[in-house]
Formats: sequence, structure tokens, C-alpha cells
Amino acid sequence: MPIRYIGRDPFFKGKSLFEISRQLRDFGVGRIVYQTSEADKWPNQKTYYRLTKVVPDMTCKETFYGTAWGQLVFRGKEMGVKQIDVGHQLDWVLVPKHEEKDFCQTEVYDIDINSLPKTIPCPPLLEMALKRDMKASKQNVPTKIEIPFYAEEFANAISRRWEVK
Amino acid sequence: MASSLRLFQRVVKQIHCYQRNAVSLVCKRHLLSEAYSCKEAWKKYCEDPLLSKESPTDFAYQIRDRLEKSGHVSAVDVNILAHYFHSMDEEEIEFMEDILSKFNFCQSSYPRNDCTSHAIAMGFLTAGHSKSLLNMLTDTKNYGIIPHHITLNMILDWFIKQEEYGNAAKLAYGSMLQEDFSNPVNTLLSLHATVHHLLQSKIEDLASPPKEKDTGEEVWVKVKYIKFPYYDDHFDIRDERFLLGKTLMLLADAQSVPVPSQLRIALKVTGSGLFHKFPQGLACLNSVASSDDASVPEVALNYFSDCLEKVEARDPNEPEVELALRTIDDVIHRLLPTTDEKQKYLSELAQVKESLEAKGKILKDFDFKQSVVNFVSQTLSSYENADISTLKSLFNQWTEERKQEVNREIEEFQKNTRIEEMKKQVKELQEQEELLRYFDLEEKLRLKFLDEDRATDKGLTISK
Repeated sequence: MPIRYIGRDPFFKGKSLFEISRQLRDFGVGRIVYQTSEADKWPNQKTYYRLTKVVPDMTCKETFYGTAWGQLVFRGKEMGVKQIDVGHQLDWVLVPKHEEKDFCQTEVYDIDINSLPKTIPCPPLLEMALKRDMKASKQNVPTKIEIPFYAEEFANAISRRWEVK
Repeated sequence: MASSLRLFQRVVKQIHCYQRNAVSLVCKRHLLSEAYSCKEAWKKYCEDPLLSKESPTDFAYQIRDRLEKSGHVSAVDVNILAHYFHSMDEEEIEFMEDILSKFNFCQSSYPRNDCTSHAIAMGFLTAGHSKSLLNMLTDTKNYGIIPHHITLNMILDWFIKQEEYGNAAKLAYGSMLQEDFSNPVNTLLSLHATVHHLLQSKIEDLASPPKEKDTGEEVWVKVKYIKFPYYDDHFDIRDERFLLGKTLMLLADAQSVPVPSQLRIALKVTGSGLFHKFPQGLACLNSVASSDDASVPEVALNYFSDCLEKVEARDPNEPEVELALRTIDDVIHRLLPTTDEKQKYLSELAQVKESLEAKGKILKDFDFKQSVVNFVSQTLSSYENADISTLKSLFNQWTEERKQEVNREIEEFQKNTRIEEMKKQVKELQEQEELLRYFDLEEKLRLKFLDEDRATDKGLTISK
């Protein structure tokens, strides 16, 4: 009898990282794995991990859980060794050894191009006040005033996540 | 009386087993030399005092009980037990398999130990339970046994010696799944086993039986999220033709041994046909046709064209099965070539065949079996010595590691018993103090007892 599953559509199309690694010698250390969701987002800029350490939860019969570390390449850029927090998601794919060389040929995403702006337009009231002060002190008054943009919180959050070691 | 009867039965079984092995040794073919298994070194290694248990059966029961009660057992205990598998009875196999399966889902099985897997393999082979061993090695999900290359080579040699090429090929599929043909001896034995298996069996027999379509009433199953039926074309392969084909393709690309170019081409073309990777096979044939000196064996070309002609083509307009009903089989079905694609491949093959024939690049007198046997027998002996010295050094390393692990566990055990003793002493001292200074501590003790009572019964109310 055919089985019809009733539920929400799946987010992920793959296997859990630990299901893959438990079937490999040395738990897949040295092998390349990637997430299908990341590959769909940026097909030309590869995001992948070269596994450096895998500690699966051997007691988990569904082979979902464990901890793993790997050399992260985020959109073609080397990011150093990172802990993999989403190994349980059914989203992982193992790259065959003979395809590794071709797979690693990737475009590199330049993070600096899309970095946060250093200045932003001055708010109108502040602009008026600044222009008045400049006029009073007999300085050259520019037509448009830009003020420095301090976004430490965002910048730190980004650097914490994508810090190059 | 019962124990002596059991001992007698065991002796009779051992004699039968030795007789069987002795017969096979006399009449069957060996690929690896006698020295490869390092029997003397293994015997010496097994004389380790840590491996001498008076009653291995009781030890096995203890381990099983611990696994059932706490779900945890020390890896070194399983390692020691594995060294007694050579003396187990027919009835004990299932019991031991059960222990190994349970141990796989125990955290102490991480990291995997090559020593344990070697002992398991040697034990099962000596006891004559090669089929059970093969089942465990092929079921990585449940048993998690991935042996060292040298151990694999010994098992492969055993099956080849028994002329069980089908079973030997299953071990080669394991190496293919690991994509690891880095050990030359393993590569050569896998090549020998797979080619013999291919030539001995009919391709139709290797294919999985077609599944009948379920036409009954649908069973509705409620789930939180539908699981996407993902097929990775590697670990999920169930069809033996695909496994064999993929193994042949990887063996053709193996860098650890200098495979002759004709054999390489034969393996690649045959493998791509069996694995239904027709574009790759046609690309290989085209490169042969355009090269100056390469040629393709006729037998490989026949395998390829046979597979291409017999492949089931799917209708390109066939609707995809909806996600809620989709299974892995539906995904595999979508990987089949469409009718147009099949026609295109057939016409391409006819063209390339014509061009190969015109250039005289089809080898008609190529003996697939003989060329593999010659290549393997000529090259195998040159790689054996390296493995023998590695195995001997591994024996020393394993003995040392086991000693260290046992010492560490003894220290841990002693530490825990000392802590328990100290806790007991502290409790006794507290009790004595309570007796001696009862009137000084009366109020404190009352409160203590009150707290204890409250902890056991939360609804306790005490009236004045």
C-alpha cells in the first residue's frame, strides 16, 4: 500500500552530516562536505567545509547528532577552522574524492565590496544647525553634509561570524 | 557433565573447521603469500597476558549485561572479547553479533579501533563464519566496522581462495564506498575479485528485482515535516550492477598501481555501462577513437552496448510523483535516460564503433580474465613486504595502546573506589559526631530531619 505523508514541505534536500560521516573511515576527516541550501543560494561561490574533526553522538540511532569541526570556505574565501553547528540538518552532501579538485575551483566573493558605508547623509535638522554654525564661524558651507556612520554592533556581528583567521 | 559434553562438542566443531580449512588450503588458489597474514607475529601478539581470560563466555555475558543495563561498556573490554571470537560456537555467533551491534551505539565505540576490527575478522574467519563477518562488514550503519586495509586484504584473500568472488566483490564495494584504493594490495585484490565476479555472473541476475507498483488504498501518515527522498548515488546504491560498475570505474582511475592502459580502458568502459553513466563511457570511447595508440577491448565494448541496449528508457513527459508519495525508487527512476536520450546514445555508440573499427582499434583477442590474473599475480608480490612490516608494527602499537588503556581504566576505577570509600568514611564520622554532640546540635538535627521529610513529602505540614 502506498504511503502518503501528511506534513509541511521539507526545507532541506540531503542527509545529516553524521549519517554521512559514520559511514566513512575515520568519520570522514579530510573529506569535503557542503550544504545544499548554501549551494542553491550561491551556485558559483562555493561554501563548503573540509572536515578536521568529527565526534558523532554514537548513542543516537537516527545518526543526527554530534559535533564537528572543519576548514570553512565561505563563498570561495578561506575562513579557518570553524565548529559546525548545523550537522543535524538533513542538508549535507559529500563531495566525491575525484570531484574535489573541480569542486574547489570557485569564484571568490569579495566581502569588502558590500561592506557597511562609512558615512551617511546628515539628518535635516542637524544639517541646518551645522550649516548655521559654519556660516557664523565664516567657514565654507557645503551643499550636502555627510556624517560618519557608526555601526559597531553590525560590524562586530559580521566580523564575529566571518572573521578571517 | 553438561560442561564436559559442551567441551566435547566444541572440540568436534573445531576439528571439522580445521579439516575444512585444511582441505581448502590444499586445493584452492592463494593470491597473497603465507607470510602476509603474519601468523607467528599474530600468535605472539595473542599471548599478551591481558588477553588471557579463564572464561570468555562469562566475560561476554558480563559485557552484554552491562550493555543492556547501562548502554555503556568499555572499548577495551570489547577489544579483549574480540580476541576470543575464534573459539565461539555456532550458537554464539548471533549473541556476539548482537554485542557488536549494541556496542556500535555506545559512545565508547568512538574512535573506531583497527585492532578490534582485525581481531573480529580473524576470529570469525578462524571459526569459519565468513558469511556472518561479511554481513557485518557490509552493514556499516548497524555494526560500524571499517577494518584496516591489511585486514580487508586478508578477508578478500580468504574469499578469493574459496572462489567466492561474489562475496569478495562485496568487500571491494566497501572500498569503493570509501573511495579509497590507496593501498596497492587492496586495489589489486579488489580488481581480481570484481572482474572475476563480472565474468562469472549474468548482468540480468545482478539487477535488483523490479518493484511492483502499489495500487492499494493509500495509508496516510502524519509527520511534522515530509522528509525529502534524497538519493546520493553512492551510499544509497542498492542495485549490484551499479555497485560493480562504480567499483570498476574507480579501479580504472586508481593511482596506487600501474594498471595497463588497455585494462584501464576496459574497466572504464565496462564500469560506465554497468553504472548507466553512458555519457562518460561514450566520452572514453571517443577519446580512444581520437588517440594515436589507444585501443578498446571488444569484450568491454560488448558489455557497454549490451547495457545501453537493455537499459529501461523512461518517458520524458511522465509526470513526477508528488512529494508526499515520492520514494527513493521514484528518484532512481528519474535518473534513467529518456527515450530520446537513449536513441542519441545508441546513435553515438554506432558512430564511435564504426570509427573504431575503421581505425582497427577494437581488440578482439583481449582476454579480460587472463590479463587481470597476469597483472595481479605479477605485481602483487612487490607490494606485500610493505604491508607485512606495517602489520607487525601495528601489532606492537596495538599491544601498547591496550596496555595504556587498561592502566588508565584501572587508575580510574581505583580513583572512583577511593572516592566512594572516603564518602562512606565522612558519613560514618558525621553519624558519630551526631551521637557524641546530640544535645549541642539538637536544633540543627531536628531541622535536618525536617528538611529530609519535606524533600520526600512536599505536602507535609507540621503542627506545633
